Parts: sequence; C-alpha cells; structure tokens
Amino acid sequence: MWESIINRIYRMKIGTRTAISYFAVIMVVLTFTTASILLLQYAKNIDIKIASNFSPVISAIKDYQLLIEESGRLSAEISIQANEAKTKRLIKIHQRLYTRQKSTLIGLCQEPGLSDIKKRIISVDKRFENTLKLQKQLIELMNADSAYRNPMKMLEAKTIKDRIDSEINKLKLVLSETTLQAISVFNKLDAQKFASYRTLSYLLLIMIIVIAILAAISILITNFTIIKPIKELNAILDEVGEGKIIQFQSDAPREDEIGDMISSAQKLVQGFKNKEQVANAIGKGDYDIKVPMLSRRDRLGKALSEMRDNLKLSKEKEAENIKSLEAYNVSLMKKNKQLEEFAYITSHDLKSPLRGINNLTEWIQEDMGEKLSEESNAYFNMLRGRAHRMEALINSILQYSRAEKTKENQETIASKSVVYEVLESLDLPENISILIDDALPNVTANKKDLTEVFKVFISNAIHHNKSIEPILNISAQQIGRMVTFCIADNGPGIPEEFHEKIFTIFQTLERRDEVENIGAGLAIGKKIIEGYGGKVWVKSEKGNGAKFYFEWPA
Amino acid sequence: MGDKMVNILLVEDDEIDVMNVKRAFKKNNVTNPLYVCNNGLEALQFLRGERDPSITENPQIILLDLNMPKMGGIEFLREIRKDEKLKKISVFIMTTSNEDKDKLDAYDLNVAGYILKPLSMERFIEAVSTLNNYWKLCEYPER
Repeated sequence: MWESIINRIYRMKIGTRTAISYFAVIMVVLTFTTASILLLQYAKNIDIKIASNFSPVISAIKDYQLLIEESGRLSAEISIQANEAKTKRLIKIHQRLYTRQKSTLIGLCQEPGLSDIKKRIISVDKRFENTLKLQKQLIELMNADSAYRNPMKMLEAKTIKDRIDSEINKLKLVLSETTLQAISVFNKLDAQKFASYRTLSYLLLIMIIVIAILAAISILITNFTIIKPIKELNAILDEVGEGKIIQFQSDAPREDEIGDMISSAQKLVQGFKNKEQVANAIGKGDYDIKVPMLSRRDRLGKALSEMRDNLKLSKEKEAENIKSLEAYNVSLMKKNKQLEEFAYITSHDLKSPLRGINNLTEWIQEDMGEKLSEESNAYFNMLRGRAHRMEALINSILQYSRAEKTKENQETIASKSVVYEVLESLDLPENISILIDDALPNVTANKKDLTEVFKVFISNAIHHNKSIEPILNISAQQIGRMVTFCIADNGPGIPEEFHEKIFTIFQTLERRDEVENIGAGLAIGKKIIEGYGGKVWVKSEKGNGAKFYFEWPA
Repeated sequence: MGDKMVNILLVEDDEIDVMNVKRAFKKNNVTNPLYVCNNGLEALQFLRGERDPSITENPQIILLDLNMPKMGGIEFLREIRKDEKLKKISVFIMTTSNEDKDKLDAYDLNVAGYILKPLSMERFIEAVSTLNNYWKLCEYPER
C-alpha cells in the first residue's frame, strides 16, 4: 500500500504535489474555521434567548402570583366587612388584570424549552377558576344587604374565605415550583452555552494537531521523495566529480523533476562510462574503436577521437621507426661482423705473401752466398726486418679485432693471483721493485680477458721504464660495484696532451725502430675493459711516472 | 721400418710454401717421396687414385694447409675421416691461422699436430727436422 502511494506520488510533478498539500491545509483550516463560527453563533443564540426570555418569564410568573395573592387578600378583607372599593378591585382583577397577565405569561412561554412551564400555568389557571367561583360567590354573598349582620351569612363567608385561602396557598406553592423550574430550564441553557464554548476550544486544539500531523506527513514525504534522492544523487555526482564512475539505478520509476534529474545524471555517468571504456581500449592499443558521440556538441568525445587518431598516427610512425631502427641495427651488426671478418681474412691473406717475400729473400741470400755484396746483404736484412714488423702489425690487428668481452666462462677471480701469473710470464728487469697491494679484491671476469688487461698495463709500465731503479706499484680500491685498479710506475711519464692518444691503436710516442713496440696493447686493453663496462684513464706528468687506472666489475 | 720410407702428401696452394717445404726437406736430408696437391679436392682425388694411377701406395702422412681454394683443410679432413680407407692417415696441420676455432676443429678431427708456419726459414727448418725425427720414431701399420 505504501509502495502504491509512493508510486502514485512519483507519477506527479513536484508542483502538483505542492499544490495538493497546500490545498489540503487550506481545506482543513476552512473546515475548522466554519465549524468554530457556527459554534460561536450557536452560543450567541443561547445568550440572546436567555436575555430575551429568562427575566420576563420569571417576573411574569411573579406578577401572576402577586395578582392571585392580591385576589386572596381582597377576598379575605371583603369576607370580614364589605368594602365597595375592594370589591371593585377584585372584580377588576377578575375581569381584566388576571386574564391579561395570564395570556402575557403563556405568550412568553411559547419556546419549546418552556412548554412544561406553560402546562403548569394552564393547570394553575384551571385551578384558579375554582377560586374565582368562590370569590364571586363571596362577593354576591357580601353584596346582599346587611349580610354582615347576619351571623349565618358571616359564617358562610368565613368558610368560603378559608376555602379560598387554602386554594390560593396551593396555587402559590405550584407557582413557586414553576419559578424554580423556569430557573432550572435557564440554567440548562446556560450549561449548553458553556458546553459549546468547550467544544470550540477542543475544535481549535484538534485543528492544530491535524495541521501539525499534516505538516509532519508532508515533511516526511518531501524528505523521502525529494531530499533523500537528491542527497543520494549528490553523493553519486560527488564521486563522479572525484573521477570514480559508478553506474546506479533509481529505486522506482519516477516521472517528476527528480526522476528527470536522475535520468540526466544516469545519462552523464553512462556517457562517462562509455568514454572510459573507449579510453581504456585506446590505452590498450585498439585504435580502430568507434568513439560514441553523445551529441554533435560532445567536446570530450571529439577530443577522445582526436586523441585516438593522433595516437594511431604516432603508433604507426613509431612502428616504422622501430622497423627502420631494427633494420639499421641488423645492418650495423652485419657491418661489424663483416669488419671483423675483413680484419681476420685480410690479416691471413696478407700474411702468406709476406712470408713468401721473407722466404724468397732468405733463399736469395742463401743461394747467392758470397757473391752478394755486404751492402746488399744489409739491405736484405732490413727488408726482412720490415717484413717481420709488418707481420707483427698484422697480428696486432687480428688481436685487436678479436679483443672484446668474452661472454663465456665468467667467474669470480682473485685479481691478485692473476697479477702474479702475469708477472711470472714476463721478462722482468733484475733490479725492479714491485709493490702489490695485499688487498687486491675478487672480480667477475673471464680469466683470459683479465690476464690480457694486466699483461698490457704491466708490460707497458715495464717496457717504457728507463729508471735505474724501476718501481712498479699495483693497488686497487672498491667503490660500490666497481673496482678501480691502479698500475703506477716511476718511468718517464706521459705529457698530458697524449693521455688520450696512447689508447688509440698503433699510436706510440717513440720511433718504431727504437723500441720493439707496435702500439696496440693499450688499445686492446681499453677495448676489453670497455666491454665490461669499465673506464680507463691515466694520470701523469712528464718525468714523474705514470698512473694507469682502470675499472672492473666486482 | 728398414729402408722402406713412408710417402708424404703436401696439400698446399701457395707455391712458395711448397718450395719452402721442399727446401726444408732438402736441408734436413728428408728423402721420403713427397707428393703435392694444391687444394683439398685435388688431394681427395689423389688419395682415391683418380689422379695418378701409377702411384700404388697411398701416403701415410699428410701435411695440410687450412686456407685453400675449392676445398679447405678442415673440410678435407672431414672427408677423409669419413672414408674407411683413408681415416687412418696421420695429418699434420701447417697453417698461418692462430685461431682457437681452427685449432679446436682440427683436433676434433684427430690431427697428429698443429704447426704455425713461422715467418723465418730458420725456424721452419727446425720444425721440419723435429717432424722428421718424429716420423722416423713412429711405427705404421703394414698395408
């Protein structure tokens, strides 16, 4: 039942509902006001009735009673001694005054509430007829001549007078009763008036209560049907405002303004939801998804579809870039490989003709023997020397092209033992002093690579050292995940402008003939170290020795 | 071994290297019969008697270069190691290649030695002399 009422309410516009509730209140007020006015009128009528009837009736009864009493008094006096004036007065009462007074009284008692009194008056009147007859009899008796002299007649008069007295006494009794009755009738009316006033106050109280209840119901309904849904909607819109997208349903189908609001909000949220799905799909890479447009003015939709198009375009571009980058990478790797192969093959192919030249000069020298002049012999020796140098160069190229991080057999190696092994393999000058840091750490490496690097730096330090007491100092320091090794000598030192150049292949700082040095060692060492992610540098001044530093992963 | 000498086959494409070997043989007084082929393919034909029918006895020792046209040394080695008749022949590699890969491949195919060709004649003669002593020391199965 409650639900059907609510449904009926939901089908009405809020304006209609407000009008209905105002109308109801006005109707209630009008009803109660009308009732109050009627009640007031009623009380006033009673008042008027009392004012117009009560006093005249009471005084009329009194006058009536007085008239009857007077007639009794007159008849009593007449019965003792005849008196013409008094007799006349009595006759006057009989003939005019009494009748007039009686009809006045009965006229006053026409109200239905006074019918009892009227009946009593009529019965008193009937009884008074007897008195009237007796008084007439008395008047006749006393009017006869000298009746007062006749004791018989006087006695008779006295008897009549007594009878009249008792009759009148009885009437007096009845009349005073009647007066009392009239008073009680008016008291009753008065009570009715007060009752109507009481009813009026109850009515006012009821009206106030009814209006209060109506107001409470109206507030309750407003709260339930308007404020609550607005609050709920507000909470939802707040969350939507904060970016959370929740779908919701109205509890009951509504046709009012709140219903319109809810459906508008649903439309808004649905739009957001659709946009969110589309944006998600675009985010996941679906660039062909159709963006649902809410209307032609849907700017968010337009922005979204523009975003999708731009993303699609940039994605395609990116794919192209990646493709070309990949192709570039592949070609680079191919080129690198080719370069390596080229270095390898050329060095091989260069070696055999070189050996041929070398062999042929030897054979010529051998076959010619003594016939060859000393000068020519020297030339041939120089020729062979150059051939040997060329072989050394070719071997260096080969080694350099192969020098890089060896991916297999990486292990934890004690760098100290590697240093000792390298020192054992080299031809050391007899008077050299070698200082090795006792705490050379363990590093991660392929042993061959690390050995090669130490060999390069140590032999470099020894070969160039022309000091009378050569010193070699090997130390290390670990910072984080890198170990920095330092190989220091007390040799001639390297001027700063050459600090970079010495690491380039075939760059030496001395004449090639003077030192048996190809100039590939440091370049090979650098290539290996950089393959492990380390750096190489040198600190040196001319005449103060050189310190070579290189990093290696711990 | 007596006076019977083992035949030696030299597989070498470089003319000067051939001369070099011959000269070294002469210097060391090595008198074993020496046959020369210029690449792997030729050597294979020679060993299978398709080249010179007059030679009745196959060589028991081969001196093999690795970098050659038509058929390289490693390929040639694979071929003879697959051949029932030829797989017992001792092979010495004489090459300029100092590559680990070549060495590993060669030893996988059961070579008797891997010799790097030195640049100077002197050291080559020493090498051949050592080889000669080695051959003389070795016993070979009867045919």
